[in-house]
Amino acid sequence: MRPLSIFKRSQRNLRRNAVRTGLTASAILVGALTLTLTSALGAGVNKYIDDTLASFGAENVIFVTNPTASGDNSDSDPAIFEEDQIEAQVVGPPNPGGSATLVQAISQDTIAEIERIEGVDAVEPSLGVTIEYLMTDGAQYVADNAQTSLEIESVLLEGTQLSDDSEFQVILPYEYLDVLGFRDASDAVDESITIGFYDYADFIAEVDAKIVGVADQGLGGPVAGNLVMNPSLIQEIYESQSLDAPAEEGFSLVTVFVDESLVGTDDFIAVIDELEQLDLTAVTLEDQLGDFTAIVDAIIWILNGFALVVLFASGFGIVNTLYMSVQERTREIGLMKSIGATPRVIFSLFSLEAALIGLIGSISGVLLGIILGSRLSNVLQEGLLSDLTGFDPFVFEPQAIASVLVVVVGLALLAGILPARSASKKDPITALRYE
Amino acid sequence: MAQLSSSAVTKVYKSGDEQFLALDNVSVEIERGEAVAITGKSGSGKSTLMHLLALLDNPTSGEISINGVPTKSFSEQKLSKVRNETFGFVFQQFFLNANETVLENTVLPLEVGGMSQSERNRLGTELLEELGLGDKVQNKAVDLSGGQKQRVAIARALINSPQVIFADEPTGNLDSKTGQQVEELLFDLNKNHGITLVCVTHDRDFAAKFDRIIEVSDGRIVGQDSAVEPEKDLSALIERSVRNAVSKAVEEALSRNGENK
Repeated sequence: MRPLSIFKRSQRNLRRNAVRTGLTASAILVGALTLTLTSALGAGVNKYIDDTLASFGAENVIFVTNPTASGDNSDSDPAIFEEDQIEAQVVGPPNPGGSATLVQAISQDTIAEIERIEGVDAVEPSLGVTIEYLMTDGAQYVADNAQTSLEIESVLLEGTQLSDDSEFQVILPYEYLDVLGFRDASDAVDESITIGFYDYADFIAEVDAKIVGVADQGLGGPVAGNLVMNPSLIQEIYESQSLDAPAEEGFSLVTVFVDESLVGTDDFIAVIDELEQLDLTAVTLEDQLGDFTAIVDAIIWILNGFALVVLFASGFGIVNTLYMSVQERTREIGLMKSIGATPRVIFSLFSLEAALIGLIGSISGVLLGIILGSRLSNVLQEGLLSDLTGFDPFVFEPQAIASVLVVVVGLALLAGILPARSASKKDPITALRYE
Repeated sequence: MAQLSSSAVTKVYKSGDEQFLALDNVSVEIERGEAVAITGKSGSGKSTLMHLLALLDNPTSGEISINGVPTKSFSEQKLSKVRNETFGFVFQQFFLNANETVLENTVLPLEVGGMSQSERNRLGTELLEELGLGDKVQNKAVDLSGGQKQRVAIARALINSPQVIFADEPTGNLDSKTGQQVEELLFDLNKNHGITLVCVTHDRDFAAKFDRIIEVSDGRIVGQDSAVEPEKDLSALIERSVRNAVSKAVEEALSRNGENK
């Protein structure tokens, strides 16, 4: 029997029992719908994490700071004043929440020691500076600056990343757009902004810089909500704030780039250990994200598990439907076998029916899931999730959708095996006598 | 060489601990072009014998051969192919698919055999026209009368140009007039197209029209009344009709008697 003939017969049989087919397929639909939504939710959350991860740095980056005694809560004694103590300022990585932390400068000698650690590719020191306010034409707005490396990209709403240019460049957090009188992100790009800070003599000084980009909030991270400045601008402010000669410069933050092949190995941990032996604080991407992604993944898998349970249950629906169909068509099976249909043909007829029920259910489930998910995305983005700019909770990836279809049709085929086998094994004489 | 033969065939049906001997050491030979009736009471084993000859069932012991070739070693695939290409089947209950058209029912063996739709529809339409069903080609089988249904069933048995047609009580569900037509059609195929006819019936009048009657009782062959053509042997025909008429009258009298009591 030709495959096309088998296909036509299967789908004709399904159409003849349209109500039964529909009900069985609806059970599959619910499963496929759930699976589509949960996998899309997983993709959405992970995409958002990936998008915003750039602001946390890459996996091979370690942010290194030098904690002071007063920053160390475990030590309740008053801290001894040290000459090279940098003033209270916001330093991103060790304390992303943004509260002020006292840090000590990291000396050139220490940097040389860091460079000698095995596995360290490059070391990029950042000068410690503090800004006070931002201003365009009107009022001055309190602002902090992020201590970060050029290598760490901001999540941009508009514009470009900073460059190592002599031009003074900044990336403005989007929170400042309104108050500084910009209509939107694109309006702010290429505009000039005035940055106010205290110089070494505690007098207010100002410097103008160009806004090259506007940053999204993302998931937080060192740069979130803070002004990001390029090296030449930091150098400019540093020189006004510090009396030290450049050779004696202390750095508030050192960004350490570890050989990428070491990520996730014991050698990477060894680098961190060595940094800590130098009495430095080392913060990695993993430290910052914590178990966040692991929890998200676990939740998604639990949801997927529920969807699979639904699908498993609907598989029994298919088994039941097909058994009824086999029962009803016993004489037809007997006739077909007596005129020369092989057991394989009978088996294909019924398993194809199972697959078709699975296909109908999964395609309509996936379509409904996409429609529902997109609607829900819009509603959530305007309501509950409006604070998380750029977070699309449901992202439908072709791969994920294809695998939902494959999984569901595969399950349906599996469910069809038993009834199809019983049909194919029927003895033609007994089947013809069946009343 | 016999076209179909069974040698010392025994068939035992088992249900639980009980065994039922349906056929006991049966040997028959059916020649090409013969018209053979298998008769007997219900439960005598006549249907079982036909099913075994038609390769629809396997004997418990003994051998079924086609054109001298033993079939015991045939694979499921090969058995299906033989049934599909060399046999045609007509059943008492027609077994038409009610929701399909006359044409679709007719060409089912060709569809199972893997012929393309256009080709099988062409052959099916031709055959149905020959059988006087040309105007019913696209009708649903459910809309036909009993006689028309059986003619469609015969068309389905004929569509693959079989060497043998197996018929199980083909007139059992028909009134005498349409039964007559179906009988004529079957004998025409046998006489004029050389198709071997193997027919199970308990109707003695119908059986008498065959070349040979194989009578089965309790799983054994009790008589092979061969080559007596009733039409040619007038005295036998008269004798048979008188006997039938008498036995019918006796039966009626007995049943009336039974009712009166």
